[in-house]
Amino acid sequence: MKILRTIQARLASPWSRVTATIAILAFGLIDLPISWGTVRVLKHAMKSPEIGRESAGYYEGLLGVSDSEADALKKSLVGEPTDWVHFTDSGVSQMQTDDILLFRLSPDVSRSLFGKSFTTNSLRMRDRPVSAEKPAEVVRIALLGASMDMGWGVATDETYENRLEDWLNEQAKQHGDPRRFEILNFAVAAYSPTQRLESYRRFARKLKPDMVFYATTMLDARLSEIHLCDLLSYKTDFSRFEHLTRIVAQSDYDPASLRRDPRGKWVDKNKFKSWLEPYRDGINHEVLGELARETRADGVELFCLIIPRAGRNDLPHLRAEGVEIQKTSARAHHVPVWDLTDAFDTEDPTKLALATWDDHPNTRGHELIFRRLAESITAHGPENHFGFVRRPDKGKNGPAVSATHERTSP
Amino acid sequence: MVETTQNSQIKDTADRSVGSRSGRILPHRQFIPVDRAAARSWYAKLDEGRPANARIDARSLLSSWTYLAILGGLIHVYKIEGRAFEIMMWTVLATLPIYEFVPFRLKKPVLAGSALIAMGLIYGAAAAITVVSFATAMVCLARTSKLSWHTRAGLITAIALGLAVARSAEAFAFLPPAFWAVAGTMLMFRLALYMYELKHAKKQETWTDTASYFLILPNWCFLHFPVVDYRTLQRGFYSKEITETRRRGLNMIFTGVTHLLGYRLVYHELLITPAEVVGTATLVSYLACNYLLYLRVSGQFHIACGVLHMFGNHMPETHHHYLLANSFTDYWRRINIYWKDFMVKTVFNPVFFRMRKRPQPVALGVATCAVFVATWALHAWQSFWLRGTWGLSVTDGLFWGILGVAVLANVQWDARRKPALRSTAGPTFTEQVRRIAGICGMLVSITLLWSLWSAPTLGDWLAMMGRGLIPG
Repeated sequence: MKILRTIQARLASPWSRVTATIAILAFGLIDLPISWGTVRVLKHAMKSPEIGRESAGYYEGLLGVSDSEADALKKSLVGEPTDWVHFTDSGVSQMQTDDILLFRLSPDVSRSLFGKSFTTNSLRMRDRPVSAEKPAEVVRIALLGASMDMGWGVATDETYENRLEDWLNEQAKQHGDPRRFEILNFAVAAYSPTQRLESYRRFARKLKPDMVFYATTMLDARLSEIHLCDLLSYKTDFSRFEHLTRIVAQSDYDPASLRRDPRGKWVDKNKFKSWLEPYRDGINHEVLGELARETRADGVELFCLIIPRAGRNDLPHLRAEGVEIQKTSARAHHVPVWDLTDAFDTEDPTKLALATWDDHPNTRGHELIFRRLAESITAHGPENHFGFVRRPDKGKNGPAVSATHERTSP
Repeated sequence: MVETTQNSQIKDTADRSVGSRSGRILPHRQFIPVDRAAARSWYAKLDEGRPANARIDARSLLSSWTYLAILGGLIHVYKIEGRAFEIMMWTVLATLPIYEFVPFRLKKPVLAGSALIAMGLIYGAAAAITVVSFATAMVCLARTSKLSWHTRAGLITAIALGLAVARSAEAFAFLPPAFWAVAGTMLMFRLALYMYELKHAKKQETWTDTASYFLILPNWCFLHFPVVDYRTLQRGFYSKEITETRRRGLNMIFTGVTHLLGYRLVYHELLITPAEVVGTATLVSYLACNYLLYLRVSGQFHIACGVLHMFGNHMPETHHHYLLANSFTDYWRRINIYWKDFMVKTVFNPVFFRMRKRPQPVALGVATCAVFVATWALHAWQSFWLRGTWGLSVTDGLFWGILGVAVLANVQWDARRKPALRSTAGPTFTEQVRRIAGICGMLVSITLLWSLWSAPTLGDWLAMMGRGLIPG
């Protein structure tokens, strides 16, 4: 007790307090070396305002303001600006509740979101214009993914997908390769693995891709849960998707016990989530298997990209287990994996996020993903498509990527 | 004496412009009266009654302001509590110099005005106007002399209950979304304490005091706010020398910031979910970290109270080393002291004095039970206004029930025990061991109770305890 009192007296002196405050402030400002792993993790924790967990008790719920009417209140308290919109409210998509996709991007959108240009082409892709017919000497890569890959919050030219496209074409030109590369972005915000599979079947396949990049994040299990929940909520027919019907049959799903609001949406989704919990990763595994079989049958090469989120939820120690699950699943289906999740490890993740409440990568985040992806292509890309960037004299990945980065950076 | 520019013009021999040489007064110097004496008397009139504790000390203000600005920088760098908190901090920094130099009588109105501006900045003009209009109407109703106190109290209770029903039924959908929580945090407990004062005060409370009580600047960023007592706030106003009060406030803000940073470390790095409890070690880890989430509440309360100190309100501390409580009554006295005082004032004392003719153990027992029933009900009331749900559950009832019984038993034990003689030589070794054992016992008891309170159902809690105590 005496020791405690002495410490308290020391800390209570004004100069000790000022010194401690300046020290904590400096700790928050200094960029720590990467080798200081644990200290960096602790610093990220201290700087992270994310409220990523379910409510833990009375006060957490009270302080988190996590229930109804909370969105607007949270914006005022935590800081979301009033012009911040969610994807579903942004007017860039159309609902199709009788379709397994549930929603699609609207065609030919051109508007500003968060001060950045958001455009779609006539084929409903968040991408530059592209022809339905595949031109000669063009290598097409279809990108299947969700909001990170669609480029939520960044300009169309700033997405890692378009940066990669520019870089590949620049490299091909420099190396005298006559081919041109087109990366077709079929990613749509909140698309679950099942929706991505359906995108491939209905849209990507028609454009005759040579390769498919299947982008996945640590959030995919959650997206599958939301998708299935919405399908059941809207009573959308998904009988064609055996993996979904089987899971619903296996779970303790009991629609009669779920309350609905006047608009027909479930009120207590948590009950459904607990039923689905054991099967969430299984959905992703089965979808990847289906996609692998179908791309093989089409003669298309499939690659699985593991994309990082810009927040502390994807710090190395937190993502390790999830990444391993994704890799194991890909290996089981003989799909090559490019793990890009370390792209943000050298920087402060909070500086790469769109905002404190939104862990989508910002412009810098997309640039880092692009660099990491270009490095993977240089090191492991298939010879038949990317041989030109693997030549020893030209393929020193760092300078080549950096040069392009400088050119394509805004 | 009225000094005019004409006089100064005559005295001014250095300035020999063409105009002055010709005998004319320069146009820009004509008829601008500088009535310094009148200004001084105006200031002096409004400054009447300034206590010695409130003397203007620019040097002390500058040092406090600088340190507060450093704390503001820290809060910005660590993004502590977000937008509303930052707005509040910058408002405090902007208001402090004005507040220091305005006449004493204008201090409370200036502070209430800055609180209004901050409310508008945080929640928008529509929400601020709606909340302030509603609060003004409620306070007018509370103060009206045309109705008896009981009628006013009955009407206010009826309106509050009516609004609760309307909110549950999603009526008044036209109101700004922030209305319910902000009006709730402002009025749900403070209006009751204000009514209590109106009943017992010998003279009508002034509008200035009333406004300063309801428009509390840090309340807008901390919706879950300590239950500040009206009389304590008024009595504490410049009750101690301002430099000392500000220093105490800065200390509280710093302590609060460290609590909030500690909370983040626990929340992000140490806390596991109940589902991850698979043995004794994980159970202990969960119990400890789940309880330590309370650091956020204590951090916010320290900061809120610290900000009040910056404006001369010398207030009691909100928490007192609650991790070192060595009995249930000790715990109740140390954690959320403002709530304990609120309960003592509005529930315990009235019940106890009504039963004072009964044997003391009975009176104590009934009053303690009343306190815990009220605490349980008022926590649900608070949850309703801040979150929109009552949050009543079996585990919630069990938590308050068990805690109430434990405090009740402790109160009876304390009442029967002979007061120990204080030794000048300090506590003996046996006393120290007993105290440490008491602290450990309390930590185990309260972490267990806290985990029960946090569990969605009793079944979930029992299952978690089962996994923790009987692994495999």
